[in-house]
Amino acid sequence: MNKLSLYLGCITPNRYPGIEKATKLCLDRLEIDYADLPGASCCPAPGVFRSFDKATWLALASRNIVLSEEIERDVLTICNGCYGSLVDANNELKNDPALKKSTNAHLDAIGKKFKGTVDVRHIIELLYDEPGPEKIKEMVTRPLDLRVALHYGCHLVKPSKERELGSTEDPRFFDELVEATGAESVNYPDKMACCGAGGGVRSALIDKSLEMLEHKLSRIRDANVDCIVNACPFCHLQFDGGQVEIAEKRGTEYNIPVLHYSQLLGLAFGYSPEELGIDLNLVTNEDFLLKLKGDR
Amino acid sequence: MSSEKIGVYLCRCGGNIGDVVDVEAIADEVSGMNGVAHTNVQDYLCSSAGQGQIESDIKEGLIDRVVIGSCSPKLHLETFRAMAQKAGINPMLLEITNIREQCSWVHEDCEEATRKARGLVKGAVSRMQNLASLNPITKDVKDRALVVGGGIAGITTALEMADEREVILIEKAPYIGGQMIGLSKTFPTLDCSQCILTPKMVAVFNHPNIMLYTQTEVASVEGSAGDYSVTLRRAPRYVDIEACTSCGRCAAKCPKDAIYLPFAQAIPQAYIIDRELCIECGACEKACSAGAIRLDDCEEEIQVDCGAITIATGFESIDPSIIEEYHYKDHPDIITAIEFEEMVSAKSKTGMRLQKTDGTFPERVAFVLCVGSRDFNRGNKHCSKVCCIYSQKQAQLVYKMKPDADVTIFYIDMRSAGRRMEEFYHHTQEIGVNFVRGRVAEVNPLDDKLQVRYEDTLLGEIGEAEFDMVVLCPSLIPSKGSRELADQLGVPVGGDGFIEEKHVKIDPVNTLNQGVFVAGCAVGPKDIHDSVTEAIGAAHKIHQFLGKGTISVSPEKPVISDACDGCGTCALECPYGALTMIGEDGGTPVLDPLSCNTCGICAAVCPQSAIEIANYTREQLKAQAEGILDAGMGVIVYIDPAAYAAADLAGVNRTQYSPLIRFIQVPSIHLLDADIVGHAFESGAGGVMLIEGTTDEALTSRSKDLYSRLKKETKAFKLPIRYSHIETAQYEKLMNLLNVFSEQVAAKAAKKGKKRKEE
Amino acid sequence: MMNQSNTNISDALKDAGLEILTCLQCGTCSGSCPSGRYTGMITRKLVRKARVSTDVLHDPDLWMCTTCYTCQERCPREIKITDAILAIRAIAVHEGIMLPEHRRVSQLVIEYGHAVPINDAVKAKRESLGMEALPETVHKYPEALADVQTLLESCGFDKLVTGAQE
Repeated sequence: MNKLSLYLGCITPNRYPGIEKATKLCLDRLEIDYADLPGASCCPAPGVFRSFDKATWLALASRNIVLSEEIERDVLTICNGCYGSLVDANNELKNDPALKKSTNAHLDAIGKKFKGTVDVRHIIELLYDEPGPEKIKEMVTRPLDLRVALHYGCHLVKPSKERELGSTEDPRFFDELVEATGAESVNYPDKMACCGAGGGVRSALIDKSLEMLEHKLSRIRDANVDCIVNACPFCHLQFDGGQVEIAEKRGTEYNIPVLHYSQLLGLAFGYSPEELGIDLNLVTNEDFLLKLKGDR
Repeated sequence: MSSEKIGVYLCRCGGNIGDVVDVEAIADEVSGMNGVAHTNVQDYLCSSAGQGQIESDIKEGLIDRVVIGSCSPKLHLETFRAMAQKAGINPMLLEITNIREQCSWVHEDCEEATRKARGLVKGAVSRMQNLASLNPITKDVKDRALVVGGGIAGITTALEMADEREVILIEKAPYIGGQMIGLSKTFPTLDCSQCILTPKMVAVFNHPNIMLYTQTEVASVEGSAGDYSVTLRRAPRYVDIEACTSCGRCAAKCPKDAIYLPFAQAIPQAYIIDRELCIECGACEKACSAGAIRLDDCEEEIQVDCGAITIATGFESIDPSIIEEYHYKDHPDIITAIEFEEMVSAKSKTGMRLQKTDGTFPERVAFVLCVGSRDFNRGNKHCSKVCCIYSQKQAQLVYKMKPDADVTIFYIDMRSAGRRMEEFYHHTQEIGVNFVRGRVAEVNPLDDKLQVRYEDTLLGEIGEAEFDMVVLCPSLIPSKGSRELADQLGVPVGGDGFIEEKHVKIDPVNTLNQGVFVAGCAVGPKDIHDSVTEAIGAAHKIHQFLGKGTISVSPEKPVISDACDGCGTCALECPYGALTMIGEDGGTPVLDPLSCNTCGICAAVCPQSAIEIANYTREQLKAQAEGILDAGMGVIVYIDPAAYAAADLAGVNRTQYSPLIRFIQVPSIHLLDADIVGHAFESGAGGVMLIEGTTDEALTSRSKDLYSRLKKETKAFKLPIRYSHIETAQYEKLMNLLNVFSEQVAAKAAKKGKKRKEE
Repeated sequence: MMNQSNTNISDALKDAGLEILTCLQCGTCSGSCPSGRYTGMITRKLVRKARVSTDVLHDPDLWMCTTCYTCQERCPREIKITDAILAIRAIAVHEGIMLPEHRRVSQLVIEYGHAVPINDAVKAKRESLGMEALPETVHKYPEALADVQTLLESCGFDKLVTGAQE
């Protein structure tokens, strides 16, 4: 595995810092070499920026990648949206000399140049690759007795031709990482369906976004799980903040705790929910927190 | 042996050639060549006017040799040669050079295409100057036909031929009837499949001229058209077909249900043991009063001779699991249309009752069309043709079983083409079958129902509906083993996997191999009516082919000159044992032309260079290369007939490649030596390629050595030489190789040119 | 990108490497769409409209796609539907058609370098976790933010999102 730079995006540092902390704790425990990426900006948010102007998207994305090229590290993302934005930009620029040239013309204005020397990784596919679920299982100090509704999200595995991570209808790699912590990944209808946040829909059409979300939440609730686990802070925001919004606007309370994988793994490595910022979610489910305390 | 009266005829091919290649300019230039007495350009040389022109020119004594520049010789060479012979010249003195499939159709740059064509025609003229009159050798054909595949197409072909000659019919399953015996009622008449098929199956079994081998496949094929020697491999049944009376006492006694009759009407009507389940207790042997059990049965190899082979290997369906969101493997009531059909056919295991796995009747049934068909993404591009109608038939059957059932067919287009089909569709609608125009997006097992998600595109409404049973109509593909069989027979297979007809429209039951014929779904999905029609056609073609009694063998055979010193190397090296040393003191080599495969190995290995292949002599090959390169630098590609077919396929598909490529067809690349190849370099070839398409291991096993030797011996020229093996269907691979090599050659030539400028 | 109202959308998409002419209108995309089930967006219709005229640029359905890529994954003609929707959106934006919320988000990026900038409540959360109040992003490095703003200006993004239509 190459050395990594930790790319934070927006939502993790600016809304759910627990995910940032949990990620760092897990990477440290796994002895994975990562460094900060000072000065990184919005990836930029693919749902919006790719909907507005391709050149701008490529310019901002490539700048973030260049910061990592400059310190000779691959980019590690912890968010499907950032992953989609950066990995697609990276590939397009690497494969299209004309786009690379025009993007570098913009980067030139800030004295930077995209070379195409690093890769972009997502923490889920990275951990599956190395050390792998078997190794992670061995390192778990506190196996979790939890029923988990896993949400892969969209941009981790799609578009499949670019991602090359296998099946998009029934992938198993994230489930294996969850099961490595001792938790059970529970199957539920529309497990692979979108949370409804992406593509600028949550920003501009919040009510419709919440309808899509509620469909997922009701399926997840029917599956009788302890929590939802995701790989994307934007899905995390949608599931967490969205439950509060649904309670306000539509009157239904779901009260299902939402964890990013780094937080689930952090729990399995023995960290407390407070250390991992799980108690800072908008949906606080006391039963869940008690259960976690009880298991220690 | 040069002549002064070569006629050069170039065809515009109605623009197919003429719009790209400036044939008039070439005719003009070539008219000045030594030996050319007359040139002529026509719009359609193959027309009676075109051929008539050549014929009269010969008869008038204007010309006595003919070079034609036109479409691939594979199409009309025989026709033209027959005309030439009729007009009074030796047919070998007429040759066609390919300026369509291998030139105008594959090069967009008109200037380059014309330059290439000019070279090809000049090369052909140079070659023609030196050609010899040869007389074809005839051999007797073996008047027996082999039919591979015992479905409706194979059965029909066999029955159509059996009154006239012996037919061997082989089938890999333990019973004949193919897919058709697994059908219930057949569209559009809804007559029962077994009722119309069983009499034919019985007729095959009883016909004195048909030898039926079940559980049998082709292991290997040797020989050539009209004279094949085929090794069949037959899997053991463990029951003697002749002795078995199908009384069933064995099955009653078997503790493991290992011995069974495939189904009640199976032909051969004999039991079979599944050795995986069998515990060898011998209960069946004890129970059998006919003494038919053969527990020591084993795999058998059977040698058969025949003159013609028919590929009637039919189709199978894909595994619909490739469309994961249809969850085929996740619920037992999501079935394929073939499983639906079996449930209500003679092969039924439910007493011909349509039922869910819980035994109840499915009240609400959905048919999902185009599962893996018309799918450029995950499935196959082609339409499977019969599903629109058979799904309607199956829907009609559901209504017959339960008039108030609820049946929906989800489709993209409802293709009810041809006679009686639209009326069938009308009837399906009027009995109440619901048609929803929308390709199913998902089939989800949900609670205890099956949820189908779709858009009703005619209403513009997204919907979800629940069903008790979902029938997936899967893409139909050639059956397993058909590609391997095609390779064994030297017959190309299309990009879609189906066997290639000789000509899609006007020669649909022949293949590129004279002695190999096709019928049925092996050559494309179709209904029973069309399979039977093709089978009757194939039987007729075979009858014509074998009926002649003889077949001409090409006369391009080794000729041994006086320079021979009787060393015997040729006889030793010949992979076919076609040369024998006869006489005292070692003797002189004598050729058996019918065993000879014109590989040319004898010519290449002779230490005295005393052997030349008639009409592929070193002089002729060198003259041809020289003529071709007279038009400027190019890549000379020596190509054998099997690979030549791939190059033609590229032309038919209009796959573009570098115009530097100049093919020289040879019977086999093994007749090449450093003298011939070196001369090509000397004449201006920027690179040389050897492309081999034959799958004959006797030859391909020597190709690596041939290549290393030629590379070494032409090292001094410092020019690239490459060898590649291409199967006939792999025209895209061939094109990639040609393009990559041409780029290398062009780059090298440019570098050299630059260097020369600098010097 | 085109900036005339009589753009031929199919051609513009083709130039961007996105082919929509071979669409079968089979409806797999719509049937798969998680948004369509709730918003009334019919993916198939958007593709058809794009083939027919530039009216698609004004279609509100254009903005209901969450870019989940399910349609693109399943399309039997391998049409890059989601990418095409993104490209059509960009054409619309360049013609001044943009939802006000999206203009706001864009302004946030221009001002802060983040689509979702930090606030005081989260700064406190960060500190309670033992982290620095500001993350290692443009929030903490003003020169980096200045770089981002220069870049956005170079791309003409600031002008794009203020646009003719407010």
